[in-house]
Amino acid sequence: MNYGTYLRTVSIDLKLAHWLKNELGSAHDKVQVINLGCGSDLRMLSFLASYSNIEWIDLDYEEVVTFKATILQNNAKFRAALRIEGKRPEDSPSFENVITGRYKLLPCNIIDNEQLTPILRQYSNSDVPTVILTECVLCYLDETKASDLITTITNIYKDGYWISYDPIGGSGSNDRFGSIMQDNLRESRQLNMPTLMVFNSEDKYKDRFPGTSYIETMWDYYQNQLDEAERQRLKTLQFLDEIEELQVIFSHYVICCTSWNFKPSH
Amino acid sequence: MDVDTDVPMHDAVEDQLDPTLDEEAPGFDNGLTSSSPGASGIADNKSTKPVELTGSSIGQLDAWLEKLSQCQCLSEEDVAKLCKMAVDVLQFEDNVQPVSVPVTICGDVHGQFHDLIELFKIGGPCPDTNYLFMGDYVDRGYYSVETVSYLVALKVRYPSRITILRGNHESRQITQVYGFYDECLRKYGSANVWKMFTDLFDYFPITALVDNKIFCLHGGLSPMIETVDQVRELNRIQEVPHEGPMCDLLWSDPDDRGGWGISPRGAGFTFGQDISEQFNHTNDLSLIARAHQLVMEGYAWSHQQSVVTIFSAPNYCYRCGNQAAIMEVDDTMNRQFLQYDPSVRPGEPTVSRKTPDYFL
Repeated sequence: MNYGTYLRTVSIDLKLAHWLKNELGSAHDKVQVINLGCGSDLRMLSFLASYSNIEWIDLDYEEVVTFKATILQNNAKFRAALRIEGKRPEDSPSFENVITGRYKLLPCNIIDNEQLTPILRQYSNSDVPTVILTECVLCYLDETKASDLITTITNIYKDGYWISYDPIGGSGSNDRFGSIMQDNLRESRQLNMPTLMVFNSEDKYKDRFPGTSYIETMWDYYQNQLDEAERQRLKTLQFLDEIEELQVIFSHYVICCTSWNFKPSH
Repeated sequence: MDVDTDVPMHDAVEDQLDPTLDEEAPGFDNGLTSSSPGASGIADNKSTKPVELTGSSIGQLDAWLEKLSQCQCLSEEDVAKLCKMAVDVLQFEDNVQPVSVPVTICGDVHGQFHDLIELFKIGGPCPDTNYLFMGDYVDRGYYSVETVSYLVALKVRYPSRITILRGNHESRQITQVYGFYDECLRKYGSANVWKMFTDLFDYFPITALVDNKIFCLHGGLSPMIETVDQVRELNRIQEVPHEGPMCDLLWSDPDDRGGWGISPRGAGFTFGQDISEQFNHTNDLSLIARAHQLVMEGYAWSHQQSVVTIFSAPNYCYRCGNQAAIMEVDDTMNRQFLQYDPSVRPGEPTVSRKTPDYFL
């Protein structure tokens, strides 16, 4: 399992870093990163520190944001890193959001367009190149809600890059990974993944996005994107003897990167 | 997949295991005061001849089997008795244990107890059907203790009806990484039962020969083994070594590429069709039957039917979605595969409700 968690984290970080380094006209160009359904992800800390040209917006349900905001506000290191000023925790039991010069953590039900669009209009600039992150988010949404979200976002931002990580159900005739996953999660955790079997292949997942997409399974990522030294380092960290099982599992998770540019000049 | 130069298996495992093997580690359970082979004492008073079952020992074994068939663990005391009896059965078996047809050959079970019960429904109950299991009874599934106790009890009760070979998971090191050790601690409160079983694993035969024609083993071939007789010369009563012929027999995999290759697993080798055909020719064999690798249909041919892989844990780790299979060999050496799915359907009360891990 540790391999999978590692790959998920590293693949998203590297895709984002690669885009920031290579796809902007200039390293000083302003960029915004919007993490939809951010959860407790702290990825913004390292990226805000490493790239002075980015602004970061984290959006999630109110209870998630309150929880995360309280932790960020409570910790001196987080306060310093994010340049959080103002009220200390002792003044207030919890916080609804964090708003600083380059970082915003805001409550938002991202599938409710009445909430999402006004927030994005207020806190982001539709003319600025924008990276959207959805890490295990789309898989939980109904098909139409997910489709509406993609349309909304790609309509607002003229120039964008969407990094999405999700499980896929699998499309092989004898592939039952997805249906078993749905059953397991529904029974034990009351979790539903309504589109796991709809966008069950790399092509179907990728074709949800307008623009130019590149998708690969985490198995392909593990095989092709890690350099040999890093693979060897992993083996020293965790002994791994069951390659076949790893392949089955990793073949059912994808990272999909879509770029779009709807600027009139293009 | 591409084979890469690899971290040797023992380096990775030892690095990982050193902390748990450290007796001085703070808070570490004193059950593992020594991991040295034989520390459980189950082999301290070995018999000089195979166990002969008496009326009372048969009664006891039948009672244990009845209890185990309900997926209930034996007491620690009973496990000790069972393991002592098993030593006196297994120590007299050969490195290449001869097996007659008809026999039903099975692959990895990995603690999926309910699916083992399903296997006996599909293949017929033991001893009505003769069985040959090719190792990996423990780790990964949630019922390693029940699974290995049940198979060992069957072995002692019906020694000529069931053969249980050693897999690479029947080892002290691997079971500390993949679940059996933790399961023993959880179910018995100490590592004593783990010590007894891992001491017993040293006595399991490592290969079998069905009617002199089908060579059965957990992993695969070794560059240091050209003949079946060379297997007979090995000293198998030891922890699975990190390298060498005994290690290879339990760790190697067939591969599409010819010759010998470095295994991506970090132990054993990969071997090509040329190697398999040469081995079968040299030893006048028709087939190598082995387990060790997850195959989605439950069985898979390699090397133009020189090698077959059999995997008997359906929906491996409760999430892989694979079928399982067993291979029946009848008394005229005809082979038939029986495939099956998990025994426990969602909603049945006996199954553990623990969710398999996903990246969510």
